[in-house]
Amino acid sequence: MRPTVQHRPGERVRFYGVQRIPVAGDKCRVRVRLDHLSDGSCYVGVAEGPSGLNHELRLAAAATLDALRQLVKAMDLPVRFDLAEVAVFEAFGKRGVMVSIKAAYQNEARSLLGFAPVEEEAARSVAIAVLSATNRFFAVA
Amino acid sequence: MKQWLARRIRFLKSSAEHHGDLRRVSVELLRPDEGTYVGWSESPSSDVDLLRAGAEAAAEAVVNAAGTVDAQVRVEDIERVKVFGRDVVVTLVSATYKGQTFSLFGVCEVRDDDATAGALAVLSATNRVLELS
Repeated sequence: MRPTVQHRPGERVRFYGVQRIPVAGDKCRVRVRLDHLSDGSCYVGVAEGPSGLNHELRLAAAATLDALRQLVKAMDLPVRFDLAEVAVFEAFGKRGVMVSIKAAYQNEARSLLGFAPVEEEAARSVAIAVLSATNRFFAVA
Repeated sequence: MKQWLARRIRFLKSSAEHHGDLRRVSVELLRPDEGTYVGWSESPSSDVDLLRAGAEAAAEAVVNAAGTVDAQVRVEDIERVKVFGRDVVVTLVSATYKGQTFSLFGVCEVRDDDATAGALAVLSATNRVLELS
């Protein structure tokens, strides 16, 4: 996994890396690791499904949410995240990825949006977009 | 009002007024127990882009609310896109805080007026780096 190095003010959860593993039957498994800076713990989320760019972008989002759910559980935070949509589109003349997440907290549901420019590794961009959408919960990067 | 998550800064309102040939957009933010902070943006009435005007007014208000002399926020770009069948504003902001400059993206679905959407997109971009939400 490729680590990120920049630390930002207010950051408590950091994206560490994403890994794509081919699986038999034209499928793939995506793993996303997040580091919780407060206590040094890390959480690895996993999602598996069909290969192909669009499928894998969604798998990257699902794996990131899987890691966040583990973190939420560890923090005893009564929040639930469900992935709604992932889309690639053009913004500022470049490709960007947008994720839509349904969050439920204290019996109230909200739709959260996150955005990240698409870089070389699209799955990484998706993970960053998920963290951007949920950053009010975790001060994530 | 039901509490979602505690915020250190809260969007209160945006407003747009004509002053001669100029259109002035203001954005007001609230820091609980500290008061309100307002930012303004002016542009010719004939050439007004309410998305950008709301975003620039919010950037000024955020700097005021940050309460430090070394905070700067600049709206580099702002665009309305159609994603998931919804109108969404995406903005690119450069924010300088504690001697470091960050390029930040913010998003907001357009639900009310354009100025409000532009302002909320800037808040979305800056909320973590400026430790305001």
